[in-house]
Amino acid sequence: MIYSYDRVYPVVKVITFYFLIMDEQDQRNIAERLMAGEKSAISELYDHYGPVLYGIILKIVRSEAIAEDVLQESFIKIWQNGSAYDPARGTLFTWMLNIARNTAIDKTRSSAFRRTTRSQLLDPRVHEKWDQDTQRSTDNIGLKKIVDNLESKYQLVIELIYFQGYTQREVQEYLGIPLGTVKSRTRIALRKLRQIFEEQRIVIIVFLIQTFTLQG
Amino acid sequence: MDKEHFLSSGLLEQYVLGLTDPEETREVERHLEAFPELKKEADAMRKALEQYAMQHSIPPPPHMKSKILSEIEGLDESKTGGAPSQARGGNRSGGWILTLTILSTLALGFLSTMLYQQERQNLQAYKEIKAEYALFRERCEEDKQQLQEAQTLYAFLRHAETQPVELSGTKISPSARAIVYWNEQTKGVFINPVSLPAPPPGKQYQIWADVEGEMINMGLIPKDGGRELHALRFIENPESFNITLEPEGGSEEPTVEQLFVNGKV
Repeated sequence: MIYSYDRVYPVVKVITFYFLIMDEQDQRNIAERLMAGEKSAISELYDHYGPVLYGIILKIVRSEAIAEDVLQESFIKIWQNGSAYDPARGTLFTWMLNIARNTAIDKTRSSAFRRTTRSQLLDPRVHEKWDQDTQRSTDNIGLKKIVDNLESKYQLVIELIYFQGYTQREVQEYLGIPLGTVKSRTRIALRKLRQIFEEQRIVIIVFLIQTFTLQG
Repeated sequence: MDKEHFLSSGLLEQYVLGLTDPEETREVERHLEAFPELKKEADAMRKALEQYAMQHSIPPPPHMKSKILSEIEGLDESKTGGAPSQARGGNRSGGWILTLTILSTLALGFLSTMLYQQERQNLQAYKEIKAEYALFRERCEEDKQQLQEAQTLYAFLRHAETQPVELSGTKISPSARAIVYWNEQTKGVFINPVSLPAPPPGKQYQIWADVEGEMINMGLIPKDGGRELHALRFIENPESFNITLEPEGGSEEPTVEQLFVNGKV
């Protein structure tokens, strides 16, 4: 078997990407350490989730300088409120995402932020910019294809609700589509997403088996 | 609400996305406790969402980590009145970079191992092809030479002035025969040892030209030349050709008692 760059490169990237995801056991362990006030926990959390929180914050505030501030504030809140985290109410990541998202949204509502970025927020081409952002961030870890498997109308719903903290009613107003459509899109988006990642996992396993067994 | 009705209500998805109000949340959690498969479903969706979110990762500027960690360190010190709190986290400020380094080292190692293997295979294949090519060329060269010889011989045999001289067996070997092709114009002579008995060990046939009663050496017939045509030394004005059996390497004078074949020109 001849290893071509085209074939090997995506595999390496996907493997690298999967190393970055903590499994549930890891999340529980680190949550316990965070709740107990161990500083090594915050450092580890930063290593694992700093990039994704930064990516999502950047999506909301659209300025690297502001995003850095928000990231710092978020981690301080995560550290200070660590003992208040309740595992029964959701995963650690969801909790952290909520903190980062809310901090970012608060920032966009501050008067200083409005002054500097008003024109940007009123930009009717906001969707276009969104797509570009998505493309840029996913290119960073080379998994554009996985995201692309989800149609953009479903991506948009997930991003508005999950990343930007919109309620379904707010999505309805923002996109100008009926609430029922928002709800059904949300459901379909989640189911599709789940399907895509399950398929992706199988593809990766098959890839790995091929790579390691078909040598020579 | 039964399970099917609950699933079709879409509450589970709303719950995973954090869109349910407190009352709905309680209801979903009741269902999750009652039906483990629903819990599994919710976990799977949550995981997919997390993985999807991961794809939107953008590495923050490298200085951010130490900035945030020292900020947290500072908070603690002001809270505890400056008590030294040498946390393990402090030692891990290079953790992100370390992780990246390890990952890229692994990836690089993986890639280079494969590239190295491929390179080795290519080199091996190249060597084999090179050796084969050299062999092929050699054979080509040999064939070309043989062809040239055959063409020369063919031209000689077809030449108008080439005349065959038949040599027939003497009393000691009546069945022996040979043919000499002789061309005065081109000064070429070839012997065709049609049927000479195999020479005994240590012996070899030698051919002589009779010129005015004198026997002149024309050359030896190779021992293992088989039935091939063989070039000889050209002698002017021969009257006859004679082949005798001589000690290996030939003699100065023919051993007349060992005359096997002869023939007049």
